[in-house]
Amino acid sequence: MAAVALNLTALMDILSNILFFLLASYTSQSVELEGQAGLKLPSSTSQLSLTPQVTITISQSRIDVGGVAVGNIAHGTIVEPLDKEGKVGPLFERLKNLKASRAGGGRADLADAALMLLLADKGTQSQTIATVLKTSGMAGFYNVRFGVISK
Amino acid sequence: MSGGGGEVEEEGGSSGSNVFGEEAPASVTLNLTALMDILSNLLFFLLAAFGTTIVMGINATVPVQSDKSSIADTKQTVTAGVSIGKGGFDVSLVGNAQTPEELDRWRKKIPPRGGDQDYAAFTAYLLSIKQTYPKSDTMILTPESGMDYEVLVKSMDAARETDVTVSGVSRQLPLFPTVVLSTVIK
Repeated sequence: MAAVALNLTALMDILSNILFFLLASYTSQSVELEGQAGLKLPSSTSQLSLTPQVTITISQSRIDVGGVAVGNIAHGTIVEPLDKEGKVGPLFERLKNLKASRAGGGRADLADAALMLLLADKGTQSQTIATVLKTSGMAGFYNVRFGVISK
Repeated sequence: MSGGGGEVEEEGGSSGSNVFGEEAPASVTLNLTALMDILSNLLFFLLAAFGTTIVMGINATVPVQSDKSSIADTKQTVTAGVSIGKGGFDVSLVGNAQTPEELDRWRKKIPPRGGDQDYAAFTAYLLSIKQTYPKSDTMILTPESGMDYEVLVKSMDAARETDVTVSGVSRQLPLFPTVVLSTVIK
C-alpha cells in the first residue's frame, strides 16, 4: 500500500494558537484556589483581581491561616469559646506571629501590610465572619479582601 | 497519520522547470506526527487544569480606632448605614453637614421579597441617595446574627455599582463601593 502523507500544517497552526492563549490566560490568573473540601465561595460581580497575601480560609469545618488550622467550625459558627475580648485566640496568635515575621523581614511598611484575603464558605454565618474580621483587625490586618467566584 | 518515524519525505521530485528553465526545488513534507502528539498532550492537560474557578476579590475594612472621624462632613457626602437581617435591609444615613431631620427622611426599611432580600430595591434606593449626595461612597454594613456570608456578598454587589443610562448611553455608576463591615454589639 502506498504511504499517505497528511498535511498537518493548518492543524498545527490551530493547536499552537490555542496553546498560546491557554498558557497566557493560565499565567494571568494570580491566585489559584486549591480544591478544599467544604469550601464553596459565593459568586459575585466583582472584577477586582487578587494578589497573593495572608489568606484566612473558613470552610464548613475549620478556620485556617495559610493552611494551618486555628479553629473549628460547626453549622457555620466557631466551635471554640472566644476569649474575653471576643476574638479567636489561636487565630489572633497566628496572625500576630505573621505580622511580627513580616516586620522582622522589613515588610511592615508595605502598602498591603494590613491586607488579608478571606476565603469563606458561602454558608458561613455572618457572626463568624465578623468575629474573624475583628480578630484579624486586632492583629493588625484591618483591610480585608473577600475571595469570591467571578460570575 | 503521516507514517514513519522522523524521516523527511520528498514529494514530486523533479516536477519540471520554471520559465527560466531552472529546476524547481523539490517540495518537502515534514512529518509532524510527534509534534502533534506533544501539543495534543499539552493542550489536554492545560484544558484540564484551566477548568478551575476564577477567584476575584471584594475590598472591605473593619472598624478601627482613629483620631479622625470617618463620618461624611460635606453637603454632598453622607455615609450609608445598612443593617441586614431577616426583616430585610434597614438603611439610614449619617453625615455631619446635614440636619438630623434631613437624614431621618432617608431612613427606610426594604423588606424581603420572594423569600430573598430585595437587592434590586436596595440598589434603586442607594441610587436615589447617590443622586442627592453624589460624593458619597462609604457604606457601613452591619449584618444581624443568623445571616449567611453569601447575603453579605450579594449586598456588597448590589451596593457597589449600577447601570444607568445617560443621554441614551448606558454606563456603570459607582454607588457605595467602600465597605466597612461592622457588627452588632450586644
